[in-house]
Amino acid sequence: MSVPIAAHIAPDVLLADRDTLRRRTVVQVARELGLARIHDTPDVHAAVCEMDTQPFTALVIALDSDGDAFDLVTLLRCGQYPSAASTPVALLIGHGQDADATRLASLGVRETLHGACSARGVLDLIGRLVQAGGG
Amino acid sequence: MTPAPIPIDEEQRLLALRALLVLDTPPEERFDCITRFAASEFGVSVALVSLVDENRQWFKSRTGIDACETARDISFCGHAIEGSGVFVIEDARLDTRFSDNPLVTGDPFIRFYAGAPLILPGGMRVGTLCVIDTEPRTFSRIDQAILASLGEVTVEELMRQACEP
Repeated sequence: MSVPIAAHIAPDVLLADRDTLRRRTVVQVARELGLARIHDTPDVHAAVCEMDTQPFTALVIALDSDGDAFDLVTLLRCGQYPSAASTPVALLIGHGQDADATRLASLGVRETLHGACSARGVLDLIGRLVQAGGG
Repeated sequence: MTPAPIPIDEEQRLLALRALLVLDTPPEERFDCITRFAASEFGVSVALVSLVDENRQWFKSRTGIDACETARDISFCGHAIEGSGVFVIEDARLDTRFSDNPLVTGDPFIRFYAGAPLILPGGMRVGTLCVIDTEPRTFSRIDQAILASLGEVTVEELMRQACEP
């Protein structure tokens, strides 16, 4: 696993994930390992509120059914939030959800995890995003 | 085989366990979702919320196994509650404490075991959240942190139950 153990202040990462147990596990383990300080929300609507409050090193967003996740990333790329427009973003795409590869590429979505991804998978993903974001 | 040891605070430990009022209660989704998550997370065949009673370990939640309890002296969880960290046996056949354990030589043929002690706010270790497999495995520091985190969620649920009227 490529998770760096931070010797500095852990980077701030926003995680929007409706899976409560996975979200909580990721938050706690990331904190314990010094990987990141996770700001977690259960959905994209709450994530939008978080985005207004401070800059983040990376975003991990579970795709919702009404496309709000794409709207959030679009506004991020337009510089509408305190975070850098180039902030690395990854999407969690659940079973039965479809995400157009062209749209993902146009929004600069760096990675996607599909299906019932594990907490370990999300932690690995955050590790890669933090490295990409210079955290 | 090394029988599961009896902790020095056994009397207080049993009092704390029984005060939870959880022994011999029916299965509950709030615990079952934790064992399902743990089995899926680690890709193992069995995950348990095991409570170590005086002479048995009783499973409040079980995924991948039919038995609802086993004798305490042959239990891996009886060893796991001796410490405060995650207890890992990567290959039980290679460990003299467990190689001739009937749970290793017979059904469910345990080879791998990892258990996070369930530590109540008062410090009593009443059981474990554990994962088991029939093949030897390694279990990294990150795996241990994930299991420990799920163990803390389990304790919160146990305490919530104890506090409800």
